[in-house]
Amino acid sequence: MKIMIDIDSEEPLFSQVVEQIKTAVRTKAIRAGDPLPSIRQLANDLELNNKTVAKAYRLLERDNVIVTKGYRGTFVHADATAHCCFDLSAWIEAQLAITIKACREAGATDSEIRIAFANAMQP
Amino acid sequence: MPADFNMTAVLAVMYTVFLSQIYLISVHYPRKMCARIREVVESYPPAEYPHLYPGPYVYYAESARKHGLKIFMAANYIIAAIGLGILCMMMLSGYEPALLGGDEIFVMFYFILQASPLLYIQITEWRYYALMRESFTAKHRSASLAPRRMSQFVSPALVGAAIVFYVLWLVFYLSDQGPVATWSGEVYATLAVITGINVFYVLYLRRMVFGKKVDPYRSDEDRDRQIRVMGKVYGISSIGISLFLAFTQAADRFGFEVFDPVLISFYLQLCIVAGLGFVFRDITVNSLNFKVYRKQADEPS
Repeated sequence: MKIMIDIDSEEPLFSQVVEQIKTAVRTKAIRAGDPLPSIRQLANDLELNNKTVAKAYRLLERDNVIVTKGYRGTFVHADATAHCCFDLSAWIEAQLAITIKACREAGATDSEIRIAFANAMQP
Repeated sequence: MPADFNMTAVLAVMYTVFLSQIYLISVHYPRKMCARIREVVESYPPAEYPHLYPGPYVYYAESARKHGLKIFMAANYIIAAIGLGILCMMMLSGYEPALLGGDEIFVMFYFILQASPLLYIQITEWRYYALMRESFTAKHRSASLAPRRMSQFVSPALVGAAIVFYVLWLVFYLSDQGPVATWSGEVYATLAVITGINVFYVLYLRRMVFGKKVDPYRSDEDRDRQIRVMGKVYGISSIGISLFLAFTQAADRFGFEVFDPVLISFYLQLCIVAGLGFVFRDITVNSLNFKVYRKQADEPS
């Protein structure tokens, strides 16, 4: 199974890697427990920075699509197929839409909502 | 104490091995290399395979097609003539090898001279690949999701054999050196150099397996095949070093140092046969995928 990235695409490179691996899981090109290449191998093969692939792997691990087992390497998560179907970005947008709707109904202006959102995002 | 040898037999072996060294390294393999380069240039011309000839290599290819590698071959023939001249002088002067060894240094010097045109080709190859990477403009890049393992490229049996021979040499060598406290700097230097060479082989192979592609256009299949051949070359080379050192050590111990020049010549020939010979035999021009060097549809013209 091969993944392909387009370096001229507007979609960020790490995001392309994430999506391609999720697609590979969904289409069963790779299955639960299958080993994945190391960050270094994939980055060198795709001529990308190691940090880009590391970021993609971090996001996939957060979404429980892959699991890293120390020096033994990175593997496809046992429930990867189920987790691939969950679109976190879509879920975030839906949650925010509900919150924004509630704020507007309470009489808040868009400007106030933006300021409040920015404040809430402060670490 | 040197053993008693029939000097005529020693000289016969010596001249045969040196003639073989002259022919193999300065005639046979340079000719094969030229024929290979010419085959590539004629079968895959720059007009149809532009990515194969980055920068000035378009002109070099045209020159190689028209004239062959004249300077390269002339340099090799001159070196071969020098070698034959040395052999003739040895015969005419009634040369006899030193019974306690030491003449092998001249074999080494001559080998360095013989290897210099090949080394020059090797150095220009690095520049060639650097130019190729600079001109690499593909917008789409692909990678396999299958992890690579060293064992896919180097036979574990060969690695095991190399380790066994290394350990055997180590035991044999150190058994002759006395207690650790009495070891000279030469012993430490020998251990460091031989261990260093083996470590270098491992690290270089790791770089080939997991590192960036040297040739960004080369297909994965061709790349894997090349790494396999290099794995075999390094494995055999490691065994060769251990065996060569064990033999020279045995020569010192059992008094047949008179054969040291023959041993080193034989070993150096083995290195060239294992290096270039395996590459030429296992990676023939016809078996490589040259389609990757054509202009791709998504490339700007």
